[in-house]
Amino acid sequence: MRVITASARTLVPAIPTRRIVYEIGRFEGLRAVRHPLTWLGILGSLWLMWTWIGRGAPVLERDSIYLAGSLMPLAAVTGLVTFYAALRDRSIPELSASFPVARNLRTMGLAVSTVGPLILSVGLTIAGIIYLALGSPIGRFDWWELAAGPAMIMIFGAAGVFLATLLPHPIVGPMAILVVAYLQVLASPDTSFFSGIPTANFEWLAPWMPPPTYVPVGELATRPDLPHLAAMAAVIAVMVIGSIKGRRWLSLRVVTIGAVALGLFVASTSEVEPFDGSSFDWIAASEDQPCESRDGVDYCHYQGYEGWVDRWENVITTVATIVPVTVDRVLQRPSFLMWGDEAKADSFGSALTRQSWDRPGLRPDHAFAFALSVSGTAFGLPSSVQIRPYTEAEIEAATQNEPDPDIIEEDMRAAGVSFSCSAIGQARAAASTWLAASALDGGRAALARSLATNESWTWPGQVVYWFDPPAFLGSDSGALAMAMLDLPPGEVMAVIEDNWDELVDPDTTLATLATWLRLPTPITTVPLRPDIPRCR
Amino acid sequence: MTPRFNAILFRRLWPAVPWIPWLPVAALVGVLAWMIKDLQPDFSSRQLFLRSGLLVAALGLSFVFDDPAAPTTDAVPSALIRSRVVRVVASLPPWAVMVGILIWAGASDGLEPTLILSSSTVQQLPVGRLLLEATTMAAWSLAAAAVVASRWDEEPGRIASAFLVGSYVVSWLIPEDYKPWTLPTDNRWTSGQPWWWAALIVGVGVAVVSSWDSQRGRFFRRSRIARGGGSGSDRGSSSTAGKDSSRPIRA
Repeated sequence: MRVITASARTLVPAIPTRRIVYEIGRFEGLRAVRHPLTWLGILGSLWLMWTWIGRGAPVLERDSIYLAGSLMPLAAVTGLVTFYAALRDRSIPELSASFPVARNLRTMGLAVSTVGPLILSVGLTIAGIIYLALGSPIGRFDWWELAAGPAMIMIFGAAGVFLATLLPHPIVGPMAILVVAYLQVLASPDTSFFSGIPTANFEWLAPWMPPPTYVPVGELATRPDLPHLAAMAAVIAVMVIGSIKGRRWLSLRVVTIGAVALGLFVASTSEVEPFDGSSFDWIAASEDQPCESRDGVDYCHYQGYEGWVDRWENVITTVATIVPVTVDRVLQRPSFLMWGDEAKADSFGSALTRQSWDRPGLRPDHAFAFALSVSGTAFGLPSSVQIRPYTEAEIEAATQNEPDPDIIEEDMRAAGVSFSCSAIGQARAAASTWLAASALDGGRAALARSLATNESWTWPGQVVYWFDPPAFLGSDSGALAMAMLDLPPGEVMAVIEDNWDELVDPDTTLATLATWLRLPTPITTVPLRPDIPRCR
Repeated sequence: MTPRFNAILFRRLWPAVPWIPWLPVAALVGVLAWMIKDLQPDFSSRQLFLRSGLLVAALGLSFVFDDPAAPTTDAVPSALIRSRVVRVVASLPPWAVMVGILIWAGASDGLEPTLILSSSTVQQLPVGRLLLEATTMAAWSLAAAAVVASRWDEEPGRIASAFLVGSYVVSWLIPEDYKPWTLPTDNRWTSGQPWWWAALIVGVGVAVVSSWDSQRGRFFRRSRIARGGGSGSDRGSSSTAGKDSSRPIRA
């Protein structure tokens, strides 16, 4: 008897390779888009978007970076989805179930399937761009930084397929996500886990480069975003090619991995400007601030923030319309003040503002903090932290066990130490709070929120100011100011004008002010803290 | 069930307990322990790595109920809960070793370990609280695996581990007022303790209920025999009944 054998190759019709890869990619891409993990990732990305760019006034150079970074959750789940898809060998398309498809074609199809989540990420990015554009932004979009977001989706998708072919066990996927998360944390320019300084240049290994805290927005344009994108593309290529098995592809794998290794070697030996910084960068950036003079007030801002001068001016003008204030300079500063910062030298004329502002139409938290520092000057309170000399005991404590105590002592004596005085219990504390809240649209909501989130004796502390406040007013003052907001503004102003001399006297108490306004006397719950100098 | 039967059961089931997941878990825990030792000796600096290490250890437990050879082991004449307990008991030593390594690393370089649940300073390592958190994560890992094993899959580890990592990441993203990860200096450190106990009890409860033998206990499920199901992933697994009893086991 004659036995006829036939190989699979002769039995099935010839279908072009591209067609097979396309069909698998289409099937798996749609599956990835519909996957529950993907929808969780989208929710996570939306949450990050809201956290990073949702409430603040848009600064496009900075927010382009954050918008890309907010796609990290979607990227992570894309990695998991492709990883599980590569491990799965049932519920696969009929094409590969019934058609003797080579494993490499399925691998390539899975790599192509990343296009599904990629389209989702592009959609999210476009939504974010529109949201930013509608928020009266300043600056310009950085398209290369924005492209890093969708590139992350591709890199994680390729990594999922790569890992599944290299280490086909379900535990590898979640653990790889954790490892990448650690790498991301370690690669942050502000991280200093293993040394006293930020981890220089390590951020090259991270899928996303967060903007360093110590680099002003104006310098973000110098970030090496394009080389980073090129590095990501190289990693994607290595992972896709590394996923392909078989002798036929060996030479391609060797050539690609060799080329990327060579590129990384050349890149690591070249002079790349590090984009991490130190807090000392702020001193130079602050000294170089351009200032704009309007109605006797100098507005000094970091590079790129010209568009916010109108907003600061608007707050000062609105407050001064109700009660005249004595601010002659506005300085933009980060969330801390360095030693020797000129902002400390003039506590009764310089108002500080941060690099954040409120998105139009939302609760004016930042505007309220700024208005509060401005309104205090109307009643003789300082507009920024004050400075005093270090005591001998403080100097001795700081220089103990230091290798160069003389240098430190010299710096301390030259710079002095900043402090916030205490106006707790003083009538003018409540009056200035009322003035700030009544001057702003939404000021009442901002005051209520700040009181609710910062009930400590220090109110308004760092929750409101994000740096040390000019003066501690005490939450009792805030509560009384809330009650004053319920009265007609004309009635409050009449009381203020009739009792002006007594009101600005530091010895006039909240109870006296309440009596004038016929409001319940506030029950003092705030300790007066005699260790804090009183505002005079 | 005699002790002799239990010993036989343990001897038969021991080789079926997945051990491969413990290799990457041990590697990652080792790296994390090394990194923890390089961090500042205070709990606030080390807590992220410590807690993530506890999660990695719990990930190893996610695969305890993976049983690619389910049709073979199904023939063992024992209650489902009993075989599950054997698997858990067999997997607890490596988990305990991982947790021990992490706590040893966390307590290095002068951080004083204390067994009390509520340490008052960041200079102490609240071992009691960390053990509570580690046990809760482990319980949730087992609960997820048990639920998945009873309803969908003979290899629940992949879903359980993804669930565990996902819920861990989400827990770090929720607002500060509700975040379960606190420091001894936070107001919510003590007030959050009952929630940890509650989470632990829920995790253990779900794991036990999902592992109850449906043919005898019938907590929430109808027996697969009553529904006419065939051989499946796990005894008592009702969801595979009538769906695709002859589906291939993943290679």
